[in-house]
Amino acid sequence: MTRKHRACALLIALPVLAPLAPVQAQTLAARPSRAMTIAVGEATKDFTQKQVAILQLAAHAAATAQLCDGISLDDAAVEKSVGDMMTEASQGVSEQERIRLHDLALVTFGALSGLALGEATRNEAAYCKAAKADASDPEKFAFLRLDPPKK
Amino acid sequence: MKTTAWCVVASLAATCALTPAPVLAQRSDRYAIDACSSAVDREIGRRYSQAGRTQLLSNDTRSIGYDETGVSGRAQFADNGGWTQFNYDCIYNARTGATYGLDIRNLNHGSSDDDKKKNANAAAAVIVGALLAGAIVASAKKKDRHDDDRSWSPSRGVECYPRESACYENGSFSRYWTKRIYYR
Repeated sequence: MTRKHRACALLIALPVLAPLAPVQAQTLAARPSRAMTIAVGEATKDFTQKQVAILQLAAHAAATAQLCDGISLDDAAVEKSVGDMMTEASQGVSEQERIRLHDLALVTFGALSGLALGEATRNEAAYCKAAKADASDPEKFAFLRLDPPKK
Repeated sequence: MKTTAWCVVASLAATCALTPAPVLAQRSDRYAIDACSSAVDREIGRRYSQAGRTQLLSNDTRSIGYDETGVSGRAQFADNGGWTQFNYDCIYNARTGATYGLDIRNLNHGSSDDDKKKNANAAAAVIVGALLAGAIVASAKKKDRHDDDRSWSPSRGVECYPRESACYENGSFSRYWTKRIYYR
């Protein structure tokens, strides 16, 4: 099984597991859920705040694109940001360490995507409405794009 | 005695009232540089357990908003492999006293090309060693760091959480604020 396969498996499995954290559902996630704190825990040891933010934004974008009609992931923008992030994070480290960081980023991305999907599905309509507003403004959020209107 | 006290108060008040805006701006910049210097030092200490105290080599300040000052430049710290220089970027909020958006990049080990070539393998070993040691120390301090993670509000109705690099607005994850604060 390749790393991509493992990440995909996580992406698929975590939305199913996300309802296991019902505590934050009661408060509509006014703060990061305990699950999110755990999900980024390992990443915060190796990545900067900006790098973790890229994973957060990419994960929320992936969840949004999966869930909301009319919105797609801007693959090029995500690939560039995550690629630049990994290049920066891997500067001056050994090949073994680079692979470890790569795996850590993928696992964190998968976990955050699952949590984002779990949060989004609690109020899908409102979530997608807000996402569409963000996707229409690249200054606001660069990882999503609106699909062209169907003819 | 009372007269003396009033003189002191009046003198202080006059000093404050007459202090020109550029001087206040310089003071604000000074606070921003000091706060960001401490933040960079803490982050380097967290990442590289063998690192000595961090020195800022340059600091350019920029006003971002009414309360925010950005500080960026070059800095260095000493470890077993010699000096390591890097670029940093940080934002200071004068109202809350918080620093955030800390970015450390372009780490450059060694002070000259010759040193770099000579010490390349040793430096790589030190970095990996420091990362591993840092991870162990970080793991040991996990609880403290979690407890110490305080949120702050860049705007009404918005709360940002440095540990998670995430901002929430009106009870939901905010793509806009997360990007604005942490992804610069």
